[in-house]
Amino acid sequence: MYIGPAFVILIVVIIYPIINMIYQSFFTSIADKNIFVGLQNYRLALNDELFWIALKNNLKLFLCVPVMTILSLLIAAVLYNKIWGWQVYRSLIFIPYILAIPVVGIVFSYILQYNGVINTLLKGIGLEKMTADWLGNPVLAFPSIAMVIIWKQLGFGVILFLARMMSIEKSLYESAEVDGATWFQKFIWITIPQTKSIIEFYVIITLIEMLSWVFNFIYVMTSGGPGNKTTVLEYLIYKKSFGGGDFNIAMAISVMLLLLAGILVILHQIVLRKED
Amino acid sequence: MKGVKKELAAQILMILLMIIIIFPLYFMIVNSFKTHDEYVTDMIGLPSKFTIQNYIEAFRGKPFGQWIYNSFLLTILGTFFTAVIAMLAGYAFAKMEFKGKKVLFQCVIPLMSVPPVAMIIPQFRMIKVLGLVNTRSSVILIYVGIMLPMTIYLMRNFMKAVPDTLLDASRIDGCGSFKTLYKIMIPLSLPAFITSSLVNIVWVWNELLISLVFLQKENLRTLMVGITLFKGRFTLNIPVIMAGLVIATAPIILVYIFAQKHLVEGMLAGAVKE
Repeated sequence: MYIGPAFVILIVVIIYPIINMIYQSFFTSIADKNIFVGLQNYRLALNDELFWIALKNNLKLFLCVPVMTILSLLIAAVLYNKIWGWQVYRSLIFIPYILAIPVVGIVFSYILQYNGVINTLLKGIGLEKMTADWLGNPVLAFPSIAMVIIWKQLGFGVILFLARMMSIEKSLYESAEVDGATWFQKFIWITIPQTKSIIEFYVIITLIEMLSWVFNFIYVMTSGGPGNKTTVLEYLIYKKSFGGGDFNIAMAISVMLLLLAGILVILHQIVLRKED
Repeated sequence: MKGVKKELAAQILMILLMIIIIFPLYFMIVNSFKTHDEYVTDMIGLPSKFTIQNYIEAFRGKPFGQWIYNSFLLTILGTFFTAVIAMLAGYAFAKMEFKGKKVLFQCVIPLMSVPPVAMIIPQFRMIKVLGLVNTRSSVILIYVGIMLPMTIYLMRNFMKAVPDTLLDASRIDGCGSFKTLYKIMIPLSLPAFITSSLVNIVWVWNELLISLVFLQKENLRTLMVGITLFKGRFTLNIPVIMAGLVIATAPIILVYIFAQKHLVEGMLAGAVKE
């Protein structure tokens, strides 16, 4: 069988761990014994203030999605007009997306630290008052991380939307120009409707990313701090397992994270079907 | 006149954006050539005295070369096995008829979205039972598993586009399904093989979490884990850290320079339905 090897590996690496995780989330281990405790792990997780901080942070990251979508669309629309050097811009804008998060995280932690570049620049232009410890301040740390995530991920949306825009019928724009439409009108009435299906994909994929793929940013830049203010569900799972040894509670949180991701996956499937 | 103004506005906007996009990279590169003293006094300017001392320093006293070797090994083996296994599965999903084909393929797609951190404890326990803790094969196995869903999806979509008449012709010539795969599908899907492998190369090279958890022996660590622990543990000399980051980034930038079209195509293909 041709699909045999693939499915053996998928079962071992993904499917069995998921089933095992769901099963174990109803147990607790005391002195090497596995004891069924029903929903107790879930109760403990839900009563933990950290869980709610982490969940709220993931939801806050969802706010990056409209920002990234709109910015990417606008940038793509500007590049679409084949302005001078657009191919160079297109190549450069994609670079952050392929860089490693540890590299990006470390570079930004030096740029954002108190003695870093941002504050030096602010002092240089006389805005001494605006200097801050961008990653060490409890209020600013999370927005700073969100900015870094947007910086890194933005190029993907731009290239994705630009590729779709290139396939829009030129005649649509030409007839709008005959009618005297402005750049903005063309953007709202032609570009957006024509790219609608891809925008839907992008929004859902990016929501999934903000829920399931931000661990590295947090781990490298703040380790969840200061004072747990930047923890997210993924980081909480990691910390509960490898910091506290609360494996079963970590699994209960994992199940809840998986359920949230599952909702987005179902949405994704609905959008896929609609396309057919 | 109006067109010129518009072009000018677009150019200003793009140049500002490019400064924001490029600055962190510029920061990393210029400071990797400065002395620590110069970095402290001037973080933004070009180095006054160009030095490669930081690059030499990066290799001294820590297994930096070993980390690079480990990352290369995992990247090459992980990507290769994924491509071969996904090609077999993609071929079956695209060109063969069997029971439950549709359902099975529908099951593969959502697996792309499972957060790796959620699976890590069960995986860790399993690896322990198999006696594979702190081995490269355990990490390669997990990498292959995580990359497979996306790679199968790409291969299947690509192979679906190969005309059936070609396969029929080979069948008439008396080729079995494996020979058809070998003689027709593999040559024809070479672009898909390359495209998906490029995406996977970038992913494995940049991966942190799994190698962090499963390879805890110093001599098995990957470059990404190494540089993450670099900070603080090995050195407080920031230009040396920057030199380490430049070395860790160079292979990815090289891939991008030489294979931009295929890499971007592969990364978009996962998001766009064929």
